[in-house]
Amino acid sequence: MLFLSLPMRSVIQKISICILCVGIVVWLIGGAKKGFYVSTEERPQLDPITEIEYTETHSKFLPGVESLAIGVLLGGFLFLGSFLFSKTSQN
Amino acid sequence: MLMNKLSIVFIAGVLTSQLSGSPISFDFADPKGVNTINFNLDAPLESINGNAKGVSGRVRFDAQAPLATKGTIDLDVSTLHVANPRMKSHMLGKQWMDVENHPDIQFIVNGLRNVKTTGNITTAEVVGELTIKGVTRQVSAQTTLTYLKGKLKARMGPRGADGDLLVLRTKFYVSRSDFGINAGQNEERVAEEIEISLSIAGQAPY
Repeated sequence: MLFLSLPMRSVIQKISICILCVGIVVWLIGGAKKGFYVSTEERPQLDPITEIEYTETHSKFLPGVESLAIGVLLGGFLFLGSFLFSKTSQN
Repeated sequence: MLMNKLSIVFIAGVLTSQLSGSPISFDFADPKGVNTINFNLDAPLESINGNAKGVSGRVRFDAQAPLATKGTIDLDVSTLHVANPRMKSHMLGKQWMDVENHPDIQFIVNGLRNVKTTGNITTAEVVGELTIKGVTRQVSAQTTLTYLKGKLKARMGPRGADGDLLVLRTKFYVSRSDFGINAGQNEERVAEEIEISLSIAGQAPY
């Protein structure tokens, strides 16, 4: 039983830190927005005759603050939950 | 003799109309899809930006007599767009814009004040009535009107008709509470003051 022979607390803590880091990285990739995820992006255009600046809407998924929140909450719960396990392996 | 008199009257009439000009009716339903109204709500916790492309309406404008400008600009509320689909669904829902019962926003141009014209550009305070969610309020907005004579074909391409263009640019503010847009609720995330800016082109084929 390799699984039980591992020091569970340490493993869970490492997983929780990974989840936290993934959440932060995904949030940063999405532009570190304060708002929620978006599914469209506005690209600026210029109408040459009228000189009107307008935008064209294109589909694009960009993660928002949810990814940070999920990373922090899930990572935090797992980290706290790790203390339910003993520090050393069961063998 | 009678014919001579009639000819003089006709020529005088033509000259008068040429000198004074006459209002041109510009159609703001833009086939190029450029006409956009942008809105911005900057609340303490969240900034919401969006736009709407469902612009239509007509404005009668005379470059020689801009004070007499009249018309209507309509906006199809269902074209209001924000980048987050959940937020868009809420925005169009009953609690906020209630698109089912109030599908249009309308601005009726009653006239212009403080008009200044330089070349083909007129700046003025546009005075009119703005109707959102069935509530009508008097609104005035500093506006730039650019009259582009004979530029319609250049804009629409070789298959387009000859004609004129009128470009309106303005920015003004409205309050959610004035128009019953979920007044007093969620103000930490949805600002009370809405900044509305628009740059729209109307066309008048010959």
